Parts: sequence; C-alpha cells; structure tokens
Amino acid sequence: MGLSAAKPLIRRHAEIGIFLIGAVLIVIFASTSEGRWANLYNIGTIMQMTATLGLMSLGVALVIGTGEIDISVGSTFGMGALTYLWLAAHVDPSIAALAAIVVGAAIGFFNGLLVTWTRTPSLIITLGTLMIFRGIAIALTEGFSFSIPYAARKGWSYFLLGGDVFLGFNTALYWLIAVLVVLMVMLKAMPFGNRLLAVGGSVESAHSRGVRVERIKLSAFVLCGLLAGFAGTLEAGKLGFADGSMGRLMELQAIASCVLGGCLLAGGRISLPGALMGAFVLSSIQSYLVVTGVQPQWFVLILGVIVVLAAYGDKSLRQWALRK
Amino acid sequence: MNFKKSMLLSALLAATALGGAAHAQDSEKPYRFVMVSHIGSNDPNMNWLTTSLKEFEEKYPNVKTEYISTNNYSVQEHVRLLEQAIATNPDGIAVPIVSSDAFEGPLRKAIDAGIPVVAFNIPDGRPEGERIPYLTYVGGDEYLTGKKLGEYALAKAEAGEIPKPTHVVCASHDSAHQGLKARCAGMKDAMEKAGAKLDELFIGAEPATARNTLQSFLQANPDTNYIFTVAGWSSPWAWGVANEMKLDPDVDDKGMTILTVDEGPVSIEGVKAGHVLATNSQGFWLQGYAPMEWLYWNKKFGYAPQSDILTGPIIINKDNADQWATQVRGVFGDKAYDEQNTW
Repeated sequence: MGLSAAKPLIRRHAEIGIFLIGAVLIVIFASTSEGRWANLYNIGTIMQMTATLGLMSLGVALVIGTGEIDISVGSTFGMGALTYLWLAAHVDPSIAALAAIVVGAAIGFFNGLLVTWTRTPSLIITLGTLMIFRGIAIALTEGFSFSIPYAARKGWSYFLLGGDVFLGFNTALYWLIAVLVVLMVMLKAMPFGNRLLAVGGSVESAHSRGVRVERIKLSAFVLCGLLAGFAGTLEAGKLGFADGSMGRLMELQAIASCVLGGCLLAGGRISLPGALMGAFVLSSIQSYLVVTGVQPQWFVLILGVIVVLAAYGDKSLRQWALRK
Repeated sequence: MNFKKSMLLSALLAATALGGAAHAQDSEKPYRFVMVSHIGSNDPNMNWLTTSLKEFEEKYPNVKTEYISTNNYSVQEHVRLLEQAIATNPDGIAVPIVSSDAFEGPLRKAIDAGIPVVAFNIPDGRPEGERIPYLTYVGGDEYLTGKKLGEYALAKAEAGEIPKPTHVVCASHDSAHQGLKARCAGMKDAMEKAGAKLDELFIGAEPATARNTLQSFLQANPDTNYIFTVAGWSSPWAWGVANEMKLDPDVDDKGMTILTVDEGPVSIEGVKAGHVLATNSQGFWLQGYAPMEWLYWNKKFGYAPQSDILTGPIIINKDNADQWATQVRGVFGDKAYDEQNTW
C-alpha cells in the first residue's frame, strides 16, 4: 500500500530511480570500504569529478532534450582545457577561461550548424567532430604538454577556476550549482525550456506551433559546447596541466549520466538534477573500485557491470511504477 | 669467567627475548602501502612491479601493498587515482612523477598529512630546492644509461673485440622526450672522450619512415660505425638497414656496431643473436620492491635516504643475456616474450 503510493511520483519524476540507486550505493560503499570511501577527502574528490563531468552532462542533457546527441563533448572538454592553460600562462586566468568558453561554444556552434544545415544525424556529425578536435588537441601537444607550475597557480582567478578548495570542496562544485540553477530557471520559467522539450517531443508539432526548430537545436549545441569548454577549464585549473588526452572517453560517461538520470534519448524528456546524480553515481563507483584496491585489469569490467546493473534497476523501477 | 659468561648469556637471552617481543609487536602492526602507477595491465612491464610487490608482502607479512593503475592512461586519470589513493589514508605512497606541475598539489597535501611518498621510475626533474619533498627517488638514470653503455662499448673496442668508434648516430623516436635526449647526451659524453663524434637523429616511431631516415643518414655519413637506438624495439630496424647496406652490423671486429636499451625481449634476443653489442636494465623489479622497503623502514625506524636510489643501468651483454632472458620469461610469460621478439 505504502509502496504503491510512490508509483505516481516515480511516473512523474524519471530521476527518482537514479536518486534511489545513488542512495543504495552510498550505503553499500560506506559500509563495505572501512572508511576509505566515506571520508571528507574522498567525498571532496568525488565531488570535483562530479562537477566537471556534471557540467558536461548538463550540456549533453540539453542536446538530448531536442532529440539530438553530442558525443564530441570529450574533445571539446580537451580543447577548453588546452586553450585555458595555454592562455593562462600569458594573460589573467579569467580572460583565459573566457577564451576557453568561447572555443567550446564555437565548437558547439559548428556542430549545431552541421546538424541543422546538412540534416545529417547528429550521432555521425559529432562522432566526426569528436575525432577532428581530438586530432587537433593531439597535434597541438605533440611531444609536449601545457602546464603551469603549482607555485605559480596563486591568486583569486586560479582559486575561483577550480584551482583550490572552499569549505572542503573544489570551487568547481560551486560553479556546477550556479549553472544548474541558471539552467533550471531557463527550462522551467522561460519559453526556451518549453520550446526545447517541444522540439525533442515532436519536431513537426513544434514547427507547426511556430517554434524555430533549427534555432533551438543550434542553441542547445552551443550551450553544450560552452559547458564542455568550461568543464575543461575547471579541470585544467585544478591540474595545472593539459595534454591531448584530456577528456578522453568522458563523452561516454556524460551520455551515461544523462540516461541514468532519466533523460530520454529520443528527446522530449530530460532531468538536469537526474543527470547530475548520474554523474555522481559514476564518479562514486569509479572511486569505490579504486579505494578498495580492485586490480586494473578488472576495473573497467566491474565498472561496466555496475553501470549495467544500475541502469537495469532504474528501468525496472520505472516499469513497476507504470504498472497499474 | 663463569660469572662473566653467564651474565653475557643472560644479557644475550634478554636481548633476544626483548627483540622477539618487539618483533612480535611489530608484526602485529599492519601497514598498507599503495603504488599508483602509470603502467597498466596492458603493458607486460606491470608484471615486474606486481611480482616484486607480492614478494615484498611475503617477506613482510604485516604489510599489505596495493597496485593502482589504469589501462586508459592520461595524466588527468593518474591524478584522480592518486587523489583517491590519498583519500584511503595509506601508510605510504609510491608514484612516478609524470608531471611535477600536475602531481605537486596532491602530493604536497599527502606529505603534509604525514603520508611518506617515494617517487619511482620518473623523478621530479627540477632542481633540488624546487622538487616535491618526497622521501627519495628509486629508479633509473637516463643520462647514465647512455654513458655506461658508451663506456662499455669503448672498453670492448679497446680490447679489440669491436671496431673503435668514429661516428655514432643516436636514433630517437621522440624528439621532445627529455629522457631519450638524456640517453643520447650520456652516450655523446662517453664517445667524445674517445674522439668520436655523435649526431642525434629523429627517426620517428613508424618503421618505414624510421628505416628510410636512417638509411639516408648512413648514406650521407659513411664514416658512421655505431648506431645507438634509444628504444629496444627500433634496434631490429637499425640492424636491418645496416644489413641491407652491407655494413656488417653483427657484433664482431669490423663494420657497424649496434647498441640499444631496455630489458625487453627484443633487446635481449638481439644481444643473444649477436646482432646487438649490449643493452641495459633499469632494474624494474627493484623499482617495485625498493620503494616499498624504504616506506616500511621509514614508518618503522624513521629512516630516510639522503640521496636518490639508482636501480640502473645494468649492462646486459652476451655473458648474462641468457640469465636475463630466463628472468624476463618468468615475469612476462613465454607467450608474451615470444610475441615481442621481432628479430
């Protein structure tokens, strides 16, 4: 009786599944790792990972909302990191960060333009640009890397851009919260949100109601690139180092975060808090395997199995909620 | 005399008993050391390190060691692994300093929190006062690798076993790699003392390009009679080019002499077959074992080495190549060993 009462809530909020899974995993990880997982330092590390992956995931969720997909975000992240560190060595880091964000937005604009003009599936277009920008990142750093010594990374700009911690957490986490608030307002309180989901729900229907479909899709791609570039900036700000491999395979984690978080790949339904929880769950699983000393040859396999189980658990919960 | 003897015996027994009690107490105190490595399970060299950690645990049963790495290597990923390892509050950490800029922040936090750190395989290359304040560095020395191999070749030339060097080419696959440049620099210093000149040549990592580049160089510089390949896997390419040019590249008192590096199957089998004069080992096994031992001694006795601990280079020549082949087969396995032998 009590459980059945939760069904309508789960039906309305697709992200509840990932929040429940997250809660279960937290209990399991905390109780089986002898304090190695559930300590302030490790939670801080997980939150830093969640912050950069989460920023990417928010952007990907917006694109998924329109019924498209952007798998080039890993490379965009890398380009953002390289741009930031290259410029931060010469100008104030805040200007370097702006430039990195512009580079990310430009890559998003390029993706969006190709998708809307050529009407080629975004999966193919962004697969191509994933390789193009990864290639550029590798070519830019052939034989060397961009880095700024630890001792030189002092001052407010570095502090604010992921270079230090505030109240125990990397400053990237506070950026993530701010971006989440802004995007939630955009989605819930501004026409952009309705239009975005309308395009993802049915392009024809949205078009017939006067929604400029191409413009909405282009905006989503630009926002996605911008956020990936910013995430790369914050990661580079923390490491003080960037090379051609930055952000490699993070595109898959970002998409997995969105799907786990209740975003419908076909478009029309997204959950930004759900995508963030997905990013937190993925970061937590990865951290748990490391702190419990799982051998490297088993690491990816076990990570994959846990992700599949989590996705299956989420899907089962939703199906149960849909049953009368 | 008897009294003295019995006093001495009593003192000895008491010392033994106290020592035993202390030992029993120590053996009950567990330690956990973590090696956060850049070598994943897709690299057979990981077996050197994991085997040595296993043997270390057998010798010190109260110590648990953990090997953390990724098969999808990046500095970004490595720093994450390092931070997560620090979060477990281990009794000690061993880590290669792949990038001092990226590793300094988390390592300083670990050291400030009282976790001793030993650098292995790759040191912090900056001047002493600027380095990350780790306990010590355990690993090879790239400059000495080149220098010792050069000096070994000169000794053999002096003995009349191989030709005296006139012109040496140091063939490198990565022009920006500081470690490879240091190997060439060591060889250069050794050879220039003997009156031979040395040129660095960037051949790349692609076999066809590397062969063409080396062939062009040898044609343009016919006085070249030594080739030093700074990667073991490029030594068969160098031998192949010299052989095609009829430069008699096998080890004897005429023609071309080839030197290479590493204790990998290609290098060792090259020496055994008489194609390569010598190669070297940087003591990979020790790079796993010695950091753990120093972390243990530091925790137990407060010992701290006052200089870097060099585990190499050790020259591998035709006299000890069989012994090295047996060791490497034991660590890599016969299948992996044979697959990597490209001669």
